[in-house]
Amino acid sequence: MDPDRRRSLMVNLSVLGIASAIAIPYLPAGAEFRRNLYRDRESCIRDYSADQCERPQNGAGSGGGAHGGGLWRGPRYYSDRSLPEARSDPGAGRLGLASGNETSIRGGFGRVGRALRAVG
Amino acid sequence: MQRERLAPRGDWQAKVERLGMDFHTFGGQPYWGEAACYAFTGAEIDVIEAATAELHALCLEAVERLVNGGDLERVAIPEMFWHWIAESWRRHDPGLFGRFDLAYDGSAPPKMLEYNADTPTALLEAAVIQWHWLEEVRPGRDQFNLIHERLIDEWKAVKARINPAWRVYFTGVLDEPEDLGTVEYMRDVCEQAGLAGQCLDIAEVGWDGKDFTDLAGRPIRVLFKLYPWEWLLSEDFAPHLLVSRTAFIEAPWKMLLSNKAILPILWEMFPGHPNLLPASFRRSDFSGPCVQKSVHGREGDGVCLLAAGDAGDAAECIWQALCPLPVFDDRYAIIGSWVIGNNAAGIGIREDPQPITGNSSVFVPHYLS
Repeated sequence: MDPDRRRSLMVNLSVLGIASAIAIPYLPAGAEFRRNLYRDRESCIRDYSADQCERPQNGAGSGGGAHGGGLWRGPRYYSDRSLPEARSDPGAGRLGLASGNETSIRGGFGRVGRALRAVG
Repeated sequence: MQRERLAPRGDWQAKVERLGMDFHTFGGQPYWGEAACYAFTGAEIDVIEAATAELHALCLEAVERLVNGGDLERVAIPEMFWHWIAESWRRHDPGLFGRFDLAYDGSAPPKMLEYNADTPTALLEAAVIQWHWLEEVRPGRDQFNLIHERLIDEWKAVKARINPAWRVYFTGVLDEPEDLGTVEYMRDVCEQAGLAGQCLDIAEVGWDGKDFTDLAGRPIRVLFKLYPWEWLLSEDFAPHLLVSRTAFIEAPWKMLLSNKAILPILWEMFPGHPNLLPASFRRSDFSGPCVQKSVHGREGDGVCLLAAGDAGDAAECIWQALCPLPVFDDRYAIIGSWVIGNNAAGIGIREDPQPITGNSSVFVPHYLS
């Protein structure tokens, strides 16, 4: 590097410009989500559709449910089916073929930031 | 250090938007202000660079002392997190960036007003927007702005410390355009360093009983957060921080520096240092006017100027000697001096008609004359 140079030689960006396309869903604080686990892809597809089923990567699928990695996973849906937000999610599956499920909780971060932004 | 007036580029809004800055106007007033710029001599930049490096070194000494002393109550951090913070310091968890706010008029030594060491803002403006402004408006001139390439270097250093196949997640309050712009820029430089990055809103971070997770349930192994540590520590998931495997950027120990309580601690450790201002945990240590700062205030929030007889508040505040910002064309100017990794890397200037810089203070570019 030129010892006299005080600025970056080049400032190229690659991913900017898509930022405004990010949509932030509303997540109730402490919302619990569930994903169904399936022994095979066919069962998952019968409950959902092919593009909603995925095989977890190594290290994933190790959640609070009874079954670990290696199983096919359906889409995320609200555990509490009475929530208004649950009306537009994929739900618990058409036929109930899941061999288990895993749960996660969201909304445990972000409360302070949103509250301060709301008043600021 | 001089302020020069000039005509903005006719299509400046479109130009900065193309660079990812669509938060260039607040309340109908430009936030990106190219109706003026500042000209510095090389010697002035040398002074700022040296002061920044010196102050960063002092801050690291202060962290060492706080951690070894084992008493983080002075910085208003709950005791349950003390050991966890200390461990992050002893592991040398990476600190990627920070920004000193300096009072500097081109002659007297720069004075540290505070260190935004956790979630510094105005990054895209300093690293990218003013660089491209210089290319077009002052071609052939230099600028104190190595921020972009130093950030890429730091992300390469992060890559060397982790499994390079891990995805790096970037989070913040992403429905805020300024935060989203900063987070997206940081993801960009991370990807240029050869790591895969993905954004998710702070409220979308999940917890599955063992790991923080993304929306697909994948464990988050590295999380860049543009979300202050003191907010995270006060929220529902805070206890999970102590047991998670996630590496956070900025590292937990950085919260010791972004906290205004570091100001009196620095003054205790280095009294009379030419780049520090007298600061205290007691208002009574100042007989005349001074500045009161909330320990966890940000972007001017919780800062107030106290006259000689004003008592001020007692709760979670510190007091600092008054050091008026220099005034150019009726505007108070503050220098934001960037530290990337452990190096001084560039500056950005904010202006305001009021003596306290806030989040709508105008960002003005600079060059070396």
